[in-house]
Amino acid sequence: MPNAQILVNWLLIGSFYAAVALGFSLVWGIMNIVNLAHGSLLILGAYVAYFAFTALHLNPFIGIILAMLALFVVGWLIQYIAINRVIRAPLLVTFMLTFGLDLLITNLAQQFFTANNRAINSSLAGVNLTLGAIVIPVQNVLAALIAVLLTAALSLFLARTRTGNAILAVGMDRDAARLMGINIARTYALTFALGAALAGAAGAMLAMTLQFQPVDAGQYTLFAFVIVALGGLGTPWGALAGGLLFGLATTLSGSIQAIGPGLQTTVAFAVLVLVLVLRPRGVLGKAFYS
Amino acid sequence: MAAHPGTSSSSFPVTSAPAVLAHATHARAPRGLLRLCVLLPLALASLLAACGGSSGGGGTSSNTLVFGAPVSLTGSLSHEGTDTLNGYKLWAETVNAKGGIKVGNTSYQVQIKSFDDASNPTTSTQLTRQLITQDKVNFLLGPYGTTATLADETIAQQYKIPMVEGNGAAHSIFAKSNPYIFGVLSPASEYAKTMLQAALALPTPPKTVAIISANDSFSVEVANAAKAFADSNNLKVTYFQQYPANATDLTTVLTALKTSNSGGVPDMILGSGHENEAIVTMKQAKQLGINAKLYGFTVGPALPDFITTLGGDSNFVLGSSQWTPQVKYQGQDVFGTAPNFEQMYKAKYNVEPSYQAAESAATGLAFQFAIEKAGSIAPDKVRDALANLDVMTFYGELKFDASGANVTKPMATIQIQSGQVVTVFPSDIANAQLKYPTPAFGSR
Amino acid sequence: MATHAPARDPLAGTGAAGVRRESREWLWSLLAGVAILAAIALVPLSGDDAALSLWTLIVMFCVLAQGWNFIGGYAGYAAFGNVVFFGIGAEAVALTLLNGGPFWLGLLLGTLAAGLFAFLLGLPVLRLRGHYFAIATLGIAEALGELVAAKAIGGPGGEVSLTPPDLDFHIANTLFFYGFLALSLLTLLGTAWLARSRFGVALVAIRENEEAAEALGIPTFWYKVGAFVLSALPTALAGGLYAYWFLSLQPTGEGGVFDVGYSVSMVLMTFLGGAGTIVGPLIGGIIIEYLVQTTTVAFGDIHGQLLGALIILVTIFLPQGLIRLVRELTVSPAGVKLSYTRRFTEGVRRVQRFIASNGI
Repeated sequence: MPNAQILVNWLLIGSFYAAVALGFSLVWGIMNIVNLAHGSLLILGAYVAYFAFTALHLNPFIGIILAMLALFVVGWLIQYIAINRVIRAPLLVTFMLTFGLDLLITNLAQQFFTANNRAINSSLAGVNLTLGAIVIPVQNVLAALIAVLLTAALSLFLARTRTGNAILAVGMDRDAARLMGINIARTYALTFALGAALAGAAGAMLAMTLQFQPVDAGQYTLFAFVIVALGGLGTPWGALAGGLLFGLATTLSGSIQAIGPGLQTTVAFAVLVLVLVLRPRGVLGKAFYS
Repeated sequence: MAAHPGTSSSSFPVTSAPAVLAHATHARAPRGLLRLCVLLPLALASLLAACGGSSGGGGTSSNTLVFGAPVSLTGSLSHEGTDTLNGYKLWAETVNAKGGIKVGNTSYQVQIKSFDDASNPTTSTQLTRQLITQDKVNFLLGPYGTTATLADETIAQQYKIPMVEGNGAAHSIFAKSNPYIFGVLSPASEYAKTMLQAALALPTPPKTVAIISANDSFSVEVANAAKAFADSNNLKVTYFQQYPANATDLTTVLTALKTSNSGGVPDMILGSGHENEAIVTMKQAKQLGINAKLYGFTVGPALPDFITTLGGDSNFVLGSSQWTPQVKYQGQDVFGTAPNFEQMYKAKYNVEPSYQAAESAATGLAFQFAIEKAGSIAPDKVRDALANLDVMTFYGELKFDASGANVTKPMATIQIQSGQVVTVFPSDIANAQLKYPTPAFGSR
Repeated sequence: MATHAPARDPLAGTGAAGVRRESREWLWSLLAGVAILAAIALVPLSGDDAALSLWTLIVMFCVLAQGWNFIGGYAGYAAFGNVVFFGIGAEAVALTLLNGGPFWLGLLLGTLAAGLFAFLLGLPVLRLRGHYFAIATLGIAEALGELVAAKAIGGPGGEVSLTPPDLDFHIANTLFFYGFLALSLLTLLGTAWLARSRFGVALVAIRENEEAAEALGIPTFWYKVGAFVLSALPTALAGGLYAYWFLSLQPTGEGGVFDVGYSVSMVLMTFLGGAGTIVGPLIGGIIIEYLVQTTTVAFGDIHGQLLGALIILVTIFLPQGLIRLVRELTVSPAGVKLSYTRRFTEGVRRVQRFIASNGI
């Protein structure tokens, strides 16, 4: 049953990748900012969940909520203090600003938390469902479900709530939205805070299912960038599509003998370039974030 | 400005900086640039002067020996790099407390001059040059990692300053016939061999092994040596695979390993890579329900955070180690014995010493013995003394072959038992029996 | 931004008439650049080897930034994968030397390969815009680096260790320094030529409003491909020089020849000095790399935090780059002659307004 196991592996890692990219997609879609500090916010979320588990002995799934709350605050502050000051500047300005933030956060994390590897080992971690030769880790399945739930929740929030509509309106036409009485600065801060909170959730999942240290931040930023470009910006579901596609590219290429795990990153990036060339707005991309 | 499609309707005309400014100035009389022409070279000259002048600090005062050390305190190697610097510093402090290094009637205090290379080999060489030419260090201690060591040893050779390193084991480091590089650690080929030997010495040894490795040169070298050793010792290699260094997800590797052609999970899984990959291998083996009889990793288990990260799942895991606190050498050095080093290290840093810390301290010891033996601090004399060195230390025998590698000292196999690192092989230094087979996940 | 094009004609400020009006600025910029490089050329006279290698690195980064300026500064395309050309140049030299070929052949092959690669890569990816272009180029660089590592090109893990040139190392290092310096000078001359040529004007038009440029009949796509190839050439040459100067190469990881850190440096340096200016990347490269190397030495393990904070402050308070800041503070508006104090105070006000206009 190797193929069924590969399918399970793909769905689990793909959903995790979707969670990694969800906040990134929101920030990019609404504010046209490629947030290079996304990975470091994700790592901060992982630390929140880690300390909630080790110091406060909280269930790791409560850790996800704590990580989201903490990162919401951090994200709000970052947007209000720094990014709102350059929001109208050309693309490269926000690129550089978030790169500087990434450097600062990653190095501070290393200074305060050391470069030690960390992970959460909950009692749930060893619980697996076994179907013949297929093994399904329950904790990863729950994390994957949460990733899908967060995607759906974000989608509903944007479509159905007043605040969500305000965020979309600002994303579509900033100045028209202002004329409609929407506070742009606050809406942007809210958007970035939500993006950071989603990064925090992904970080908590990372701490649960894999392991982390501060220097991993860059890799997750890169993943998020690739996934969102793959899936397209149009909707939160684009992140899910991109995550699954990215997971498919790595899992499948690693499982095919002729390619092998050594080349799975190469293949994933090649797929990215191919998708961009054929469908420049990604698989599910639309003109607006709606 | 090319707007991206997602917000192409954004209605504010976000005019780019160049446009606004070009409009504002119309660039008519750029006298500013004329001034720039005059000012910049001046500014530059002063920068140069500042650069030249910043060296002052180091210098060799009459009774201090300065050891230069570019180490990785930030970036991807910061974890091991910090241990490296800790080892260097503990050695310096201990030597100084015991009266310094004696050359004839003079005794020299030791000073470590170290800079952070941010895990970047280019920066490491720049710092090495600076340590030699501006800080005028007497000798060089190695950086962390193969690539940086490879790059820095060339500089050491150019300036004929001996470098003793304890954190680069790849064959290529010693294959350049560079007379100024000495490595106190056992070479890469030994890393996996010791664990395989330990496994084969069991009453009912494992029959099959899967070898997975990161694709950097050091890990590949270790994996190839492991495969050669297994092949010639009736240990069947059922799976041999490389993955990208620093991979965060190894499910494809582990799934293929589990279903590899020769049927099911092998008796032993041997990983040659880095600590983070070792941790991911264990976490995902658990998620995929892979229960091998034995797990071994070249790098990881000997580092204290391997146990804290994996908790109970780290039990029964084997690791190769350049040194353990249990080795029984009676050294002639300032530390004397391994337990003594362990105790001093814990007193200073409040953690168990990793072998990276011990081998780094040993690089200092090699210099200390060589300088005292040479009776001189002249780099060439010390180099010759290093080449002929043969002393016993808390870390093991320090003796270099013609290429500068230490082929005398054996490596040890450790195992994590009940959350503690114990030495299980070779038997003359072991303080515990190898526990085998490993119970299934959840009952460790 | 098609629907809200800037009111003015995209070529009005920079077109043929504009070029004539600004003719003296390019000259002053070029002279400033040459003067800076001439000053740096004196470094070997100090006899300080550490200073020599420091300035070799700095000039190398200047070349990378100058190369990036063609596609990123003039054409305004956020290329985040320009390190790929550096890597190709370095690998070409490494492989040529490992196979017993001469250094110049490796340099030549690397430059040709990088130029060809830029052309072939540009055909598909230069149809992308903004962030999509950035991630596509970044993806190519990452993929190629991983490929070199996985296929063990040049050695296990793609790691290469080269034999130094058969020269006294002082002489060799001095030669490499002047090699980089000559490359920087060439790129400077190329930039000055570009700034005055129809090619350069077209690139600026693309940057300011690509649709309008297209509508004016400018073959924008081919100009972009040209800029991409142009930016690949000095970058690949720098990679080739670096390979033989540094001798130990790894494909990925910090300081690897395909490390995205190089791309980030190129952007940062060009940005600080002034993107799309003749001498900006040179000045930005000198300042950033000098700061990076000296803070590493002076501030130990907090240099990462310092650099991060510095980048944040620069992007917020100096978003237009140093060259344009100086221009703002020293130049009178068209047709008016003001005293230097007036110019300065007016300039400060304009810059403040500009910074404020970036925010909400």
